[in-house]
Amino acid sequence: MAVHAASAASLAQEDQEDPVRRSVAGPGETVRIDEGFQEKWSSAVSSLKILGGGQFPAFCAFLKTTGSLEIGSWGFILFLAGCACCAGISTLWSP
Amino acid sequence: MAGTILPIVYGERARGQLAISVWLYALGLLSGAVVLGGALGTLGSELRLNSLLTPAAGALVIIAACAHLGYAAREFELCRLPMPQSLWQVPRRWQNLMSARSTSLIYGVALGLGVLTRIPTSTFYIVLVWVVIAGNHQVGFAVLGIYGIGRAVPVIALQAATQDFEHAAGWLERLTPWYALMRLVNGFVLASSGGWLLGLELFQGLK
Repeated sequence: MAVHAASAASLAQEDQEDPVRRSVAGPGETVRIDEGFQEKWSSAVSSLKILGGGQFPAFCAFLKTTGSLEIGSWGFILFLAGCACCAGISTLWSP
Repeated sequence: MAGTILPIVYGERARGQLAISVWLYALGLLSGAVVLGGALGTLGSELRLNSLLTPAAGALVIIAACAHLGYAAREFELCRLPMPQSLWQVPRRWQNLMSARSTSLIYGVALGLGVLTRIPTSTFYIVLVWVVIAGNHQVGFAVLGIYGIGRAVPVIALQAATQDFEHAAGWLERLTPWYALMRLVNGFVLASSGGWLLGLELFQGLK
């Protein structure tokens, strides 16, 4: 109960400090953040951190295996061919 | 352009002739595109731009990557970037000056050159610039040849799937909303290739 009162006091103080929260909640009211939403948000942030911290080096390693941008290499020609194919098909919408 | 070439094809069919105009048109597209590719490749080999792409020329690759990403953003309609282009259209009166089959071939060549008429997506610019930088006419033939095939295939498919122009016009109308998707695809191609270039430069370097 004491903890709940402390959080309510804390929220009320934040109401005063945060104009957006104050305008949404109105004077003397508190904004209750759905715990489920908080969990999902934390999960999303964790996923982003994993993507940044774990997957990004893996992505870089993948880039290294794709070969260098050597002019005339198959990778280079395939990249250009993909762009050219898209550009060609897109002309169907040209007047 | 499908609206100009397809009536010629249906006209041939109505006269009981073998509908080869569309194939002549496709041949013209391929020829025009290959000529453009060869010319750009030869121009690039004369300018020797690929010699600039040394491992020390990281800034150039980063500029190229930024151009890819910038035009990707344009395709996603996040910003506006200049797209210099000709607004010329192949004249319908050519149909009165030549036979239907000759007109189809000439239309194909004029459109296959790509730069004479409107350019709907920025991917084409990226292709042109890279073909010049590659400085190899064979790369130009191959890459712009695929551009020509990319232009021809939808028209060939459309004429095969339809019997008359009204039917084809219905198809073209149904395809109109898909332009947004096509631009998204172009945007993703540019964004991924820009990211690839940036990744190569930042994490590996050019060979």
